[in-house]
Amino acid sequence: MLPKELLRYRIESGQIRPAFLDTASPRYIRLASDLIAAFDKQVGNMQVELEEAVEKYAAGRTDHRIVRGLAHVITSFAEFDAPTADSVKLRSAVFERAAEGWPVIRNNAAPTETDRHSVLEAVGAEFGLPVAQLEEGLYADLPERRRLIRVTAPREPGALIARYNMELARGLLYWAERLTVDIEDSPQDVFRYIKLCRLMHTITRLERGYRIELDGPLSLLRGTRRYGLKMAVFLPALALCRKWRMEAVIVKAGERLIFSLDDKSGLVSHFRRFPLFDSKLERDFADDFQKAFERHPHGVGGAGAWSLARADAVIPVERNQVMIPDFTLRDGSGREVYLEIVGFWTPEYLSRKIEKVRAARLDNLILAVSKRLALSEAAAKELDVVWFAGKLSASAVIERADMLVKEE
Amino acid sequence: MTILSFDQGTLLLDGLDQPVGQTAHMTPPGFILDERVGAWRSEAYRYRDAVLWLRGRKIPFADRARHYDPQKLHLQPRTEIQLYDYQEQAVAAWRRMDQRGIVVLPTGAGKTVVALEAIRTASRPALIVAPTLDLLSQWHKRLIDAFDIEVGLIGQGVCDLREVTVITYHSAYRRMGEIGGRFGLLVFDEVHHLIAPEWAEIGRLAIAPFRLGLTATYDPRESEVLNELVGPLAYWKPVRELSGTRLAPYEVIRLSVDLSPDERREYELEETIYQEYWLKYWRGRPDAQSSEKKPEKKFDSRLEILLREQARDVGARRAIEAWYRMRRIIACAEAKLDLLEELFRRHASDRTIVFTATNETAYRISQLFLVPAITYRTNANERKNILRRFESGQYKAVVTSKVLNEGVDMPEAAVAIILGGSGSAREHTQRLGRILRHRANKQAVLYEITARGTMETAISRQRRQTEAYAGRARKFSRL
Repeated sequence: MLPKELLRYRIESGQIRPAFLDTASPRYIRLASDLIAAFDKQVGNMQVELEEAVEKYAAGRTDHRIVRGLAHVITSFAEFDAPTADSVKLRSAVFERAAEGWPVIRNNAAPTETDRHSVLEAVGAEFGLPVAQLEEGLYADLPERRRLIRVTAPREPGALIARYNMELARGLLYWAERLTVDIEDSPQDVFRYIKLCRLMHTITRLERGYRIELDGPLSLLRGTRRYGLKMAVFLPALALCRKWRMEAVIVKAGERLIFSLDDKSGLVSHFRRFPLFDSKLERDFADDFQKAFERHPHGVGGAGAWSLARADAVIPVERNQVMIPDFTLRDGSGREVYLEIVGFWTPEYLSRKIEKVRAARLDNLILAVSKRLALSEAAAKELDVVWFAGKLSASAVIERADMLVKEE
Repeated sequence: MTILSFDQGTLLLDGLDQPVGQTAHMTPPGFILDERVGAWRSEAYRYRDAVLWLRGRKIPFADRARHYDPQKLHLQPRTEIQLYDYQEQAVAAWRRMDQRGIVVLPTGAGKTVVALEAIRTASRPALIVAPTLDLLSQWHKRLIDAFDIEVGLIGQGVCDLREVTVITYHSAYRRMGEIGGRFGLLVFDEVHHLIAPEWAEIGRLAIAPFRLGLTATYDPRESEVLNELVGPLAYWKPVRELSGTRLAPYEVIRLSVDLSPDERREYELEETIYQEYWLKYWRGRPDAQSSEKKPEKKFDSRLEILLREQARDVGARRAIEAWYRMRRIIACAEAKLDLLEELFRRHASDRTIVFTATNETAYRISQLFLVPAITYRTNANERKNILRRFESGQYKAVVTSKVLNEGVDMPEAAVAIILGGSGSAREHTQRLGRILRHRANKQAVLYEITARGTMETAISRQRRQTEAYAGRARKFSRL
């Protein structure tokens, strides 16, 4: 996240717009490559020298904040060494010696006075260090004296610029009081990151996808920027979606400004996606369904043409949690039946999941349970269970979906 | 079953039967329905009122918000806490306000002792919030010494949570959402910080029914938030009333030095660039007030203007660089260092603190004079060691940049030397407080060393306009 002084944005008619860099612009590609090369040249130098080099590069330029911003991103990937001298011990020894003969005179000490150089010589002798090395070691542990070992990423100019844009957007979100996002796909990834970032959500179903308001406990009672950091951390998760938009209310200097972004803003996510299929079981089921679909191009099953979607339905359950069933079956008229495949789980995980399902109180959720699991009849009461042995067949699920729809 | 619980700095009220069609007054004050979780929610500081409300209406409820046992903590002071009459009065006044209130005492008047007595009588797990790491470690030490118990500490990466814990404002802001249910008493050192909305959240996210705010500066016009989150003004003793009786008289000596010819040349070069920028700036604003244009006027706000302008104006950027270079030249001017050395000679057996404007200068002085430096970067252990040795007399002098600015209980420092710093009145009062120790027959002295004919002379003039200097300064032009 870029710090406040490196943010670049425009404010007009109540909107705040980050000044993103064009990743294809030759000028910025060149600047990015130059900076990456400059950092490589600084390997072995102290952090303060690295900062001075960046300052010299940026000095006098009207785009100095871009230079500093790119440098800031590169620095976040820089590795520095650990101090070798035990500076704390050296300092302590020097100060103790100096205090014994206090005060210390720098030059022209009278015979009765304590001469600076002799204090350093004496302590140097204790540690086997010449005075010059002792002096350098005294404050070698200051952060600005750490030496650069290497810069890990991003090495490619386009990637650096893309990351800069993301960190610029994040820097603005730090001041956010509210964040509303609309997503059309990838709810599983988005909600896992919402959970990881410890944000609260309020979900509304849209025609295609969901609108999610993200905030925290205090937001209900008072405008607060307390969760801005969490929102900033969360942002790259949003960019995992193919189609998404967001609107945030940023509070700066007492003014409320609207900050909007969408999938056309050019942001690239560096977050990992969660794997699409949790198990071979699910993959095999999806394959089986696909084959059935190909055999009956006008739809499978009797009641309607069911199509299968992967983890795209978000069901709120108690205490601000959600359940995202493994599959959603949808027929031509928009009716939905959810399928959750219960594979090889521990008994604890299984009972937690059953609890969640029961709490959701859905009448259109099918649980496909492996016979190998010791799920008792009692536990399965009131739930729509399809049992399977080794493989879950698509036709068995479709048959049950048809039944559920007929019962309506 | 009605349940009151603590959720990340807020209170949740579950299972409160709401007759259909009833309006908001059927819940305790400050509660709103949170549809995200299907329960009523309020800021945690409403805890006491909520409990009183539920009890008043004889509604049985499970209190899962309070994460401590109010009967359990009994603090026995190692030796009886001795209070001066005004300190006794302060504690009594606070107790009369149901142990929710603000006590205003000048720095050095022993507010720590007031707090210790308050903590003892409140007899609840207590969280003491301090503005700096040094104050943090001072409170920590005083509490251990007073009550002979383990005292927790949260700040700068350390997290040790106990029934009595000290914490920084910074860490409290970040963590009150987690720990706000564990303490029955909050003590805010330098409580005026809570006026800022973000620090105020610290007070909002805690349930503590008892709160004590301590400060040397109180402005009733700005204190609405303090009154809401801590309590009303309980006791006020201004500086003048106390300085005759309890605080040692001190001397102020202003010393001026000249820059060397090389330093002067470099300084004037940078100063020209700086002043040319301002001439251009004011020329472009013919309708600005003439009072705003005075060079001495508010150096801090000038810097603010520059920091803002540098975004779009390369000239402003260069002016800032010039300002920093000017400051660096005068911070370590040769003549100042010589003078400092002379003062060290003169006060060889007096405990001395040197104040600098920047970390950089502090480290330089440290390296040149082989004297320990404390900055915000100094880690907790080293800081503790340095202060301990300073107190024991092993170290005779310490140099520090801004970090010790907030009324730290520096043990018996007799001499303070200001090598530079900004002119804000509050900072100044607090610096003086450091040497205004209650001590018999000891005259403390404050030296202020400025470079003649530089921006420091102007800053110093500003500093002198504060109350504490009135009528006490003696001017020396040369040592």
